[in-house]
Amino acid sequence: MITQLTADEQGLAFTASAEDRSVVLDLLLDGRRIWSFRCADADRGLGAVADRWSVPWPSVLRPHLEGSATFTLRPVGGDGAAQSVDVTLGTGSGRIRFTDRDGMALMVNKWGQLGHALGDWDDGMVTRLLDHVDQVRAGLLAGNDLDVYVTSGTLLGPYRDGHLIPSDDDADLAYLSRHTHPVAVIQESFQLGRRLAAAGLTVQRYSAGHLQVHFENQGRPDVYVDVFTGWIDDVGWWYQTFAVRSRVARDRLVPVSTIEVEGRTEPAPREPEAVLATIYGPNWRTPDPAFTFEVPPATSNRFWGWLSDAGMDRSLWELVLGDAPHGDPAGPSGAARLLAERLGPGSAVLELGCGRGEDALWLAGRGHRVEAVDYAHRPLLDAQSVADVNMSPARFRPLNLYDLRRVMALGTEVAARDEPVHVLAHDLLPTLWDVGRPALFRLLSMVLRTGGEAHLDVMTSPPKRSAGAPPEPGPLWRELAVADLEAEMRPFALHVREAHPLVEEVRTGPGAGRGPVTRTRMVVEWQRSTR
Amino acid sequence: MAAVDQVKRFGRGAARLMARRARRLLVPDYDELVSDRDRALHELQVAFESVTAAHQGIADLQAEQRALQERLNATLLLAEAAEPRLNEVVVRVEPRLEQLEDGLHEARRLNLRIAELTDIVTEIVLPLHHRDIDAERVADLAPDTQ
Repeated sequence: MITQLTADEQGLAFTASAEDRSVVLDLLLDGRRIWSFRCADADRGLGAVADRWSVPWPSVLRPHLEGSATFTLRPVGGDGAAQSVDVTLGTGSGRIRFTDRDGMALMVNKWGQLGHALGDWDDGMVTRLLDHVDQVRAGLLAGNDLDVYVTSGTLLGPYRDGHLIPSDDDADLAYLSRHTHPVAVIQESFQLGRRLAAAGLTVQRYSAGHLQVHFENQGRPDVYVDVFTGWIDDVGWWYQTFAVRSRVARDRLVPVSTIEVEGRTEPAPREPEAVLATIYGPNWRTPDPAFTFEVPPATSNRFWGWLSDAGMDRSLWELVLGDAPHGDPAGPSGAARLLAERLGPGSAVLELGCGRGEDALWLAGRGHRVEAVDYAHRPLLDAQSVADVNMSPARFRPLNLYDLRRVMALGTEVAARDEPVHVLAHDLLPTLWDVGRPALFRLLSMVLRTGGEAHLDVMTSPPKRSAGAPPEPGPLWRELAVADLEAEMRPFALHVREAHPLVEEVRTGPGAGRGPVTRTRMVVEWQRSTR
Repeated sequence: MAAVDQVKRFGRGAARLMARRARRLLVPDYDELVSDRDRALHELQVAFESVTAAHQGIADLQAEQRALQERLNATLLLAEAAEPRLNEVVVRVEPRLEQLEDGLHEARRLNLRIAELTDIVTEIVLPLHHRDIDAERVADLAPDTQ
């Protein structure tokens, strides 16, 4: 039995006996489930009091913990009574609100990220979600000889009781490719992504074997659909993102069977139990909202090698950029100001990693022809809305620097204009994972061949966090040495023409204040190879 | 003399008969008790032999244990002697293992690169240059195997 629940700025503490350590606990905020964890994952409490355990707040929840609330720990499966505690946290007043900017209830999902639990949506969500699933499935099947079926949570819940899992946050579809080699499987995935986009759907690529299809409802993001790629190789290993690697014969997966999902018939793998046991392990029949995937390195290394990852903090940036109010009171960045001083009238500007587009809008307001790209979807839509309302010529479009094909497509398009282009990439290098830098330099080498220059900057000391600021939910700042970058750029015929050390004030994290950082601003140009 | 012996035998026989009758009268279960005694003596003998065999078995095991201990000690000595060489091997192999893992990753990543490049060529390069393709030059391309 869980007893003596307390909560403070650091997290929760409670008393649980040895036999309760196997229990899964739901955390409720004012009666609504927002997270689940295993009692066994809690740490020994301060002072090592017998049977006293503590668990820190999830990092993505911390910025929201301002005000008063009733927190409840409820054992899953009715194993014991719930325990509640009233607490006031932070300096905020009123009730703690764990919602997004649209007022939609948030939860901490099985990846430790923010999500929207299906159980927190409006009554019409189920119908809309199943319509989305059918729409995506129709797009996948149009002109393709594919086996498509529901998988993961969309198979697990309905196979147990016919219903979606309330703590799940999306719908999951998978297809089993007829191809056996990763190259052919990836090429097929590229084609399928294009087909879905051609069908008018908003498709985001999260790897060479994982697509996410997004929808809107009444001007807000609606519940989305994942599309996972599966194939069986020449020696009989079944792979499915993410991340299944198991010896399962094709005839156990297809031809598809059917399953009732909330009263609607959907395609299912031929032997659902084989699939569920492979994905969730032998205890898949028991509901476990604290379930997390434990993928063996032999599997994750293969998926990372073959399919890479095109997500790379994208959800984090959607959160960081999407929830902040538009319009930085500090005005355009120093990088944008410096660039503006060097531009002739009506120059062509390409901004990479534009975020909320404040610099792009400012530069467009000064008469420049600005095109701005980012991989965070919603901030781009917001920026374009601001541009449209203000009759700004700035154009915003998505570009994922982790998708080489899209980088090459943009590079080709911009280079074909045959005019000097000035590139602004403020705060991009410190936030870009190393696997994204070659694509960035490839893009610069394409668009700078007709003249122009690129303005990049790097952090030479990370921002000092302001006292009491909530911890950052991810690695938003990386230190890079200019000399290393010069060496990386050299094969792309890029040359650092100028490097200016300076100190600037920056935001130290989501919801935090500003602090000084030292950085080096570089001006990069393309030089024809002498060889 | 023969008559004396006969008298003596008669006397002993009579005495035995009287003794048997007295035993039957005084201890009716005498024969059964004797039988039990004999069986118990036999079982005691068997048990004694078993204990003797067990002692021998324990002695054998102790000898075997001593032999094993000696072999273990010898093996430990060998292992200690080989440890520096083993460490050298680990130091030499570890970086190679990392190189192999990096190489394996690179080899796997080539699948993606091939797919990306094929996609770029078919979806960007060829459509953009379609109009520049000279049909006569295509016809002049070197013949290939069939």
